[in-house]
Amino acid sequence: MSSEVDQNLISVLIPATSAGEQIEAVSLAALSVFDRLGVTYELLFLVEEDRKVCLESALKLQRQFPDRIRVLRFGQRVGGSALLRAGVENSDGEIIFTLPDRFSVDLAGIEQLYDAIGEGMDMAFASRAQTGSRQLQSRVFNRLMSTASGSQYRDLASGTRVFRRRVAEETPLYGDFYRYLPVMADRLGFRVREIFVPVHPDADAPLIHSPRLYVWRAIDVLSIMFVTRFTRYPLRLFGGLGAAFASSGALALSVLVIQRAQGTPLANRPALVLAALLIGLGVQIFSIGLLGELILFFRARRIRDYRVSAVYETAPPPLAERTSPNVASEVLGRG
Amino acid sequence: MSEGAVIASSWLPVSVSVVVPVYNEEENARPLVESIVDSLRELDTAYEMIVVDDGSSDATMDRLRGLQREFPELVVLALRRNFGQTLALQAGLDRARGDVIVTMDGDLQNDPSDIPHLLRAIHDGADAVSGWRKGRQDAVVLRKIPSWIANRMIRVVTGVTVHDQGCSLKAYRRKIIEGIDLYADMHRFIAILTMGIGARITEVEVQHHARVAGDSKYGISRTFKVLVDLFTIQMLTWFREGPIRFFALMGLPFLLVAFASFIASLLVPSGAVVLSAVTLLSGITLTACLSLGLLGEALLEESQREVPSPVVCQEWKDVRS
Repeated sequence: MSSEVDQNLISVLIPATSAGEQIEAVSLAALSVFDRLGVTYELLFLVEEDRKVCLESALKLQRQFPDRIRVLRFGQRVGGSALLRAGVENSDGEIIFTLPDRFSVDLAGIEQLYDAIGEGMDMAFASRAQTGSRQLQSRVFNRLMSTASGSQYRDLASGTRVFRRRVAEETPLYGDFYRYLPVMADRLGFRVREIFVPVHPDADAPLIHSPRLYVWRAIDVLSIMFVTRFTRYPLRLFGGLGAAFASSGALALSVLVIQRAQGTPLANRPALVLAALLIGLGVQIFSIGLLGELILFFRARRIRDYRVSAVYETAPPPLAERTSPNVASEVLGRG
Repeated sequence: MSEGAVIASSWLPVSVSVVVPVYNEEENARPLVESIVDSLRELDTAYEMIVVDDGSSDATMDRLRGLQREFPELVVLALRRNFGQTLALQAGLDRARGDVIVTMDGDLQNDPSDIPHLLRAIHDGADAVSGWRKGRQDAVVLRKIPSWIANRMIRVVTGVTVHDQGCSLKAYRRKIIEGIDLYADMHRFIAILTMGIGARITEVEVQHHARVAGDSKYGISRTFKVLVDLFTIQMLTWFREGPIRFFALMGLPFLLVAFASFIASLLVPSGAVVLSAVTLLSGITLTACLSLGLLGEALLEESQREVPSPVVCQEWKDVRS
């Protein structure tokens, strides 16, 4: 954990998640951009256990620029969200940049991101102007994500970002959600800006990813939809689904019962199994929604989903002079 | 009440907080604050007015800040974005310091001159007082009829006797507000939630005016959501004391079906395969219901300390002890 946050310091986090061919070149380019900006900064490499090439490059750079570079190594693969959390906790800057460890956007865009923070944004990220099939994939994914989350961002997965420390501290980060930090931050009421930046000429992200990655991204869309829309209304989702299953089962059952009344035997009709399956499934899904509501209700004491940006009151506060001692102590107690 | 007269009565609480969530009410900001102050300055009690700006995109915030110079009793809370009425209200309630907390809408359809009547009812022994807009000034088809149906349903389903759940003008003793927590869209069901912690709730007829400025933030689409939420809150009321009973009740029909289809499979050999499958599926559903009920019980046990205890309405004790 960082001891004290330095309001004038910028922390640049580079999570080492690739094979590491470009990490040195990217870092040197980033160093020159931050030098040009004339700001005080620190650069932290976040290296997982088995990224040997990355670690070697990072250590080489650290020896070259010992006053500006720190290298944090983790004992195992901890995942992107945990890396980001650890990076934020171990850094000292109020403004935090994250950069991918290979070329993505033109690093000159860093200046625009920094300006956005100066203009009052809490977060800004560089959106890549993609082309060809990469553009198609990106468009489909981002459109799905926009529909799921209700946000309108074009390139959520971009790793070139800047945010104020409190954005990372207040936004729950786990699993792959670090990828969708702009959506999550937006949900908490932070001001987020997307800035279009040209792709770096040396960017070499693969055109086609492994099938597993597409499956994970599809699941991410579902997760984001649930997290942004239904975490406070589980019964609206599970109740709706359960009711749909159970009512279609009930419909099938009533058709069978009517046909039974007309003389068709019921006992040997496979459709009866289907009807029982649908009703049973519907009731179970519905019950899961109810249990979700129960969990929420019990946790309500700890839930405060609103975020206050400012409180304006006169000094002393209106009730300070005339309230009873009891009330005053309650105020102190509630902090 | 005549202007300038101070009502000095023993029935007034020591201090009152008025909490008003607003969203895009720039035209109503000044008349709202002025009318609340007019109503409260006549009373011999300390008060504060907490206006929560729920991420307005118009000049509401600037107007409110401007009014603070004139009205030092005005506290303005700015939320980071539009979080919705429930959360805006909870933000204001969390900040309120008064012995009695009054809530109302910022569209001036409620009349702040009714606040003393609510305070009187609190003095008369109520823990919570709900306004009842008898002469409601809203569109008949879009607002009054859906509201009448919703209130009727709420009364039938929950047994809460309040006629007008949707009226935002309400007053609560502080201990009641500390006993309830709002999330999702629960602000509509505060009366039900307060009943859940044993509060004595009463209602007072209040005035209602047609909207003069600004746009209504409600539409008929919310009726469906209200019904789902009503169902949810009733379910919670039923099963929060014993989830296993509730889920067992849910699984009971499946037990009966499993039993009946098992007997039928013995009696009708030609349908044995289908009926056995039905027995199996019903058994699985029954097991799932019971398992979820047990999980609910475990949850209840684990969270028991976080569920508020019923509030004590009155206490008799020997003063010598």
